[in-house]
Amino acid sequence: MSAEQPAEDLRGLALLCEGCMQGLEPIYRRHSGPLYRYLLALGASQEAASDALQDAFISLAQQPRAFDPQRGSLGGYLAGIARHGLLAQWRRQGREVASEDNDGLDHLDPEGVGDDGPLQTLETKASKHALWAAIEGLPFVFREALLLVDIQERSYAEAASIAGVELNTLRTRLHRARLRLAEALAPSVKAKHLANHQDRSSL
Amino acid sequence: MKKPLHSHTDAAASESASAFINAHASTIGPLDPQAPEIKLRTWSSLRQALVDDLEAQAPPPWLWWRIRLHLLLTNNRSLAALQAWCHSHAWLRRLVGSTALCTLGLLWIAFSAHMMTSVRPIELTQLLNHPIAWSATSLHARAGKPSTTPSSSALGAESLAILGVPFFGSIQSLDDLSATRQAQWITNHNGQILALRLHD
Repeated sequence: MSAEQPAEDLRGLALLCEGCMQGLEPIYRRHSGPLYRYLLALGASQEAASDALQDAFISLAQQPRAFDPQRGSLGGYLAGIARHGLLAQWRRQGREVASEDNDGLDHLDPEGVGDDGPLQTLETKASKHALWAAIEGLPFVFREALLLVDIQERSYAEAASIAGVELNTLRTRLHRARLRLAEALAPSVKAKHLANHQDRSSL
Repeated sequence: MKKPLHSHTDAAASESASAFINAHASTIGPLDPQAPEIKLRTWSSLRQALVDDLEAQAPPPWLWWRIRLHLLLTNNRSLAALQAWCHSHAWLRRLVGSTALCTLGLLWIAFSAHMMTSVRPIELTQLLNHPIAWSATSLHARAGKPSTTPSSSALGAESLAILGVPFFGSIQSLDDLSATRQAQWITNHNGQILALRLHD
């Protein structure tokens, strides 16, 4: 995968490779905001997000050659480091982070759940706060996939790179995240479609 | 018509939640008079609200300076280690500094005493290669005077005396001590003449 890098990032990287720390400033200005918001949306506190952000930029400044422009964008690379740092913080604090993709929704029929559930739910019940609450209630890996692709509108490839998973794994997570979101916003939908599923099975 | 929510073999990697949601809007069908409004009001507006919420968040301004400071200290590990060592051993630093100053003072006292007891300053000033004579020479050269005059020699001795005022006492010069010969001498605090030179 090849990614076209903004000229500003390339200039900053070139300076960093020459040992000039001035190159970090334009990169920080460009990427710190989205990265910080990504970390907050993952559930990090402001302190934890700041620490993870600092780790990411220090890592880039100390090892600028570790970033391969052919493998993705600089923003994605920094997000991957920050994410790793945040998870390390959480592990040190004893916070459990679900790393498995099984969310117990295997019984849901992907084609059945969404017939009218998500739309109706969003239309009739969802407010901004309810949606936030539903997103925050998602398991980490699903919340991350949803944030990267649906909220931050990153490409699947970049999101997979940040999450450190294969493309198909990310797709699966995103799909399950959407199902979970629909389920969280409309608890009755699950029961309804479970019934539908059982009806179809009995036929 | 049911539309698959998601397909792993779908090459369109840019499938978004709005597509996901709006695909289901189409399942309601065109008969629903509010379908377009529903589409607009659903995912895109809510997503935009979430994005607006997030956009209000920004990293703290001090974070950039914390990163710079961290990099500065990391890139100068020896300096950082020395600073940390000095901070943790301030008493030793003060002790070493005080000892060095005391030693320097004692050396200067010993040197001054040696100069006053075993060396004749006036004679030293006549040696052009000696630092005392050099100081006088340079001063008089700037004043446009010859560098080998007796007064210049006396000035050289005087400059040394100024540096060690408490120990050298004073130096005096008189052009016509005996009306026939020029004399210079240097005394200690008690007025005792330590060195005397009479010029031919």
